[in-house]
Amino acid sequence: MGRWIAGEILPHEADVRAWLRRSLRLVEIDDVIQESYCRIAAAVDPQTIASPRAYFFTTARNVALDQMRKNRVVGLDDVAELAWSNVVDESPSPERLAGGRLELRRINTLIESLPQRCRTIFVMRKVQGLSQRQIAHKLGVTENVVEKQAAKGLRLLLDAVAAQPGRVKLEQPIQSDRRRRG
Amino acid sequence: MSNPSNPIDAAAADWVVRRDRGLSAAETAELEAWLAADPRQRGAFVRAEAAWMSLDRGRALDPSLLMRQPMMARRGLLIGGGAALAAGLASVTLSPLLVGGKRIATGVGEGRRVPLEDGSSLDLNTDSKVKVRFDRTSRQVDLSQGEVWFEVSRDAARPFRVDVGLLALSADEADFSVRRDVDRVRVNVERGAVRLQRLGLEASERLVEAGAVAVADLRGVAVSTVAPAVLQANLAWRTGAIVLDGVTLAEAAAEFNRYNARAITVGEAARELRVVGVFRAREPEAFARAAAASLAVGVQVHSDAIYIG
Repeated sequence: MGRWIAGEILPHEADVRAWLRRSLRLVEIDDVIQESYCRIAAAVDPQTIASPRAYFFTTARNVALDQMRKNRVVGLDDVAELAWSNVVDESPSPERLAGGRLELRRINTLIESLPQRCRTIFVMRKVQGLSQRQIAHKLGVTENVVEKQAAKGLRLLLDAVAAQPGRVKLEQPIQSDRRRRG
Repeated sequence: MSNPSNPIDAAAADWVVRRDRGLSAAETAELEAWLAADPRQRGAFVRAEAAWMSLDRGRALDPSLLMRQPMMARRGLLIGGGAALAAGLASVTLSPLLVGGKRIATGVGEGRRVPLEDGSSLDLNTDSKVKVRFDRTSRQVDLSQGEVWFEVSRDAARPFRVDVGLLALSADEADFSVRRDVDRVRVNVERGAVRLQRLGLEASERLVEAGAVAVADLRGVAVSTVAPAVLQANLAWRTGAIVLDGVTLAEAAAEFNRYNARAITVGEAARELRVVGVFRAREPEAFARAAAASLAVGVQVHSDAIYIG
């Protein structure tokens, strides 16, 4: 399940967010995205989903509509209709259609752009297959430091997942990292 | 609007990484409660987990991609680079950047070996704190708390220096330990020689050679050659042992309390009794029972504290 979401849902998140921003200015986008993942994880048998991308858009739309109902947004029907029509129009970009390979490249680009310490830890964990404990031992730091750095790297990755491809900028956190260390 | 500071996403990332290192029973319960509390939290966790897994896919593409260092050229991070990595043989040391003013600490009861990029290494004893700063011209370690064993490799261009409060130690090539207590610093030299001086006082330099122990306190510095057994006793912590050679029970308790949160307290009447023996540093109860039995005093063992006397 996790792997299916990683491979089939996560790559479309930036597009879903962009669409939410364009279509539904009244919703909290982070809330909608989070709840969409919850519903997808709870309800989906991956085998039955022909188009994960369309499923993600539809789920996000439903979550957004629920949220608007809860918040008593006026003119709901109009908004909903607009939202639905946009989903239908939202076809994958040529890049997406080119398949997962570009996505993998993007992941690598993201990893490359992480601060040095996060990246070192990710490489040791994910490429070398060392445990966090072993990494701590090799780097001569506490396990807590490894955990903190890995979590920081993962947060930066999540930010990048949310951002539009090509707009990923991670220089800022590196600066703050330096400042703190100094 | 999106993400950088979304607290739920940040918390979810923390949980995913924590789960990756293994959760305690209490943490598992905490995580389950957190997931159940809010569908957004469960969703954020699913999402963070997926992002974490997507890193596994990165490896399938091209491991060498991960090894590029786009920010600036840095030497020494991963010896052997991508090829060794691919073979799973990479040996990792701290890069100068990683070390730059790097703080390393151990908690009570912990010990840690820290290999350095120049081939030197540090072994931190319990409850110790150091700051390591290496650059092109110097190798500097500040010991602010605790005890450290140093194995210093020769590097003619960069003297190895250890600052301990107002005391400065330097060595070309040596194995030695430094212990910093509240009121004194003790240096044991096993190999090579260590120069020792008060900061800012050139004339105060003393040479401590292999087999000698230096004790510095407010009165000054005393250097003496000791029997090998004494030196080994002072270094027994490296094997997890405490060697007591006729010290008072109060001193022995203080020594065990360096390693254990479960503190030993000694009653007034028993404080000056003397104990002898070799004990495991992290087994205060075994010591307390043995000492009490040999000295014919009482012992009370609780889950969080031990009383002798």
